Amino acid sequence: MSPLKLTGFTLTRRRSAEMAVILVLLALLLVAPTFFARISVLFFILNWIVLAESFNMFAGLTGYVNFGHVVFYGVGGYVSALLMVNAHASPYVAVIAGGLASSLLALGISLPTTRLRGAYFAIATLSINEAFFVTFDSWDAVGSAPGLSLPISYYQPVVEYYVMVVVAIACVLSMYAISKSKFGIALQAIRQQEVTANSIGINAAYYKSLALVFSGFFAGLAGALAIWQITFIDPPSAFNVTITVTSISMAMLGGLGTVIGPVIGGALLYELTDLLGLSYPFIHLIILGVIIVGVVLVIPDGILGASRRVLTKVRGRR
Amino acid sequence: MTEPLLEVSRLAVNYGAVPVLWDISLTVNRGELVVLLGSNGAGKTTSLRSVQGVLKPKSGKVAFNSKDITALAANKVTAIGLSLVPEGRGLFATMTVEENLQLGAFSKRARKRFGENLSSVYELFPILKERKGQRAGSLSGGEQQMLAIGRGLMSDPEMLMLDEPSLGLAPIVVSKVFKVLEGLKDRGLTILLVEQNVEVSLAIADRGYLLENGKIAFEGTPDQFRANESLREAYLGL
Repeated sequence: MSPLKLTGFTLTRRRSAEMAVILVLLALLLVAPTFFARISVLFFILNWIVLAESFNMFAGLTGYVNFGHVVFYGVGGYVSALLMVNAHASPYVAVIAGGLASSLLALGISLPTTRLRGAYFAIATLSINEAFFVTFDSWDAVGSAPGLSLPISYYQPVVEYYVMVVVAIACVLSMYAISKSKFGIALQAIRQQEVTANSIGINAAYYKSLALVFSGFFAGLAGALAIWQITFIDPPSAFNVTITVTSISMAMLGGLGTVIGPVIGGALLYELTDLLGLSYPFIHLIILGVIIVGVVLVIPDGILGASRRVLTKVRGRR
Repeated sequence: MTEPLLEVSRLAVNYGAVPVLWDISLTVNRGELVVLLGSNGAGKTTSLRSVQGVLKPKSGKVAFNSKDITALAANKVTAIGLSLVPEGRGLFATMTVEENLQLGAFSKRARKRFGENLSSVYELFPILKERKGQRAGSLSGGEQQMLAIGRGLMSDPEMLMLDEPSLGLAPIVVSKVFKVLEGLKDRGLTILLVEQNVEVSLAIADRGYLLENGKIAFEGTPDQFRANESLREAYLGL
């Protein structure tokens, strides 16, 4: 028996209520295409949830804000698009290849950047994003500025939707498994006291790299799936900083470091920006800013953390 | 029995271009309690950090158990039996007391004797057992220091290094903590103590070193420290 078992997860009444809600939502997701005409809306909600959760997988657990998160999304999208356009690969193979390519990239990026602390890490990852944008924008082999379009035969909305459901479930379950494992405990220690974590025998550089690899894998899958759905990719859409900022806002709104938080934040914020974006284009960017500032000031532990705090208080008073 | 366990020879450390340590040589024999004294900025913490591998020395050598560990990464030093209780305790504040202790046993070597070490830590610090479900951040300063020491012991060390365990503690708590260190020494643990609190440290130490501006300025037994006229004036205030 490993002694590394942190307390916390017991199936209390609150937990089982949460589980019930999750199961109902999952069932609804599975039957949605039979009665809901605009499943592309659901597809993108799930896509954003994966982006927010994969961001959370690294930032929420290690405390480092990766401002280049969209690079994994973009590279995943490009790799899968290139495979489908040039090699006429099966979309499933292309999507998985996109995820793997991004996790490999994450490993490469992590080697130099995980030596950096705080704001320096954020700045370095932001510049990596710019470097990728400029490179892809002028690289003819990947379509340069005009981008790539998938052959129309690839477009199968219902299949894409179900693959998206599977990836989203896998992503959330992975986050759950990681945060309950020895790996997650090591990351939690690193987040709180990195130097001490190292000196008590936790190889901080290794665990941080591993976390970024998982984060990159799921963000890469999200990018590949998004391209399958949109059937088009170009540098401004693939390496758009707004995607990173949106993922950050979603994760923070729901609750950074929690498993379900990014799911809640992702769904809420996507709906909000979607509704606002239709009638007031660009105003969603202002909303994102307000949400980030508001969350940091008022509920730094997000909707999930705050509601748990309130629940505990209410219980305590009884 | 004067078998050297930790041998630091001619250690020099720079912060960027600025030299901080020039020529640090010190030995801690198996079973000894050695104290490294010095005022603020003398290089005490820097010395410990370079021994532990957090900082890379510019030159010099660190050997533990006759094995060269100069280039060994910090997270591997713990695994060979050399543990550091850091300055300011470095506890995981939002985790419970027991979780902190569990993290102390992160390395493979420590997990083998986890149960044994946990019960001996609880025996040493009964207060930690009482508070094992409490968040580490909610403990008093003295209890936090005990937890930091307990976490260090959970790694099943042959030698424990402590960086200013008396920092920020009331005198009565300091003497409690130092009594524990004395007890650990009696159980055969080798200890390197870094301190500013001269009197209390000399009272429990076998030998001492004085660090001044990045150099070892004096070494000797507690009696030799007390007998040295200029040291008495400058550091002991006697």
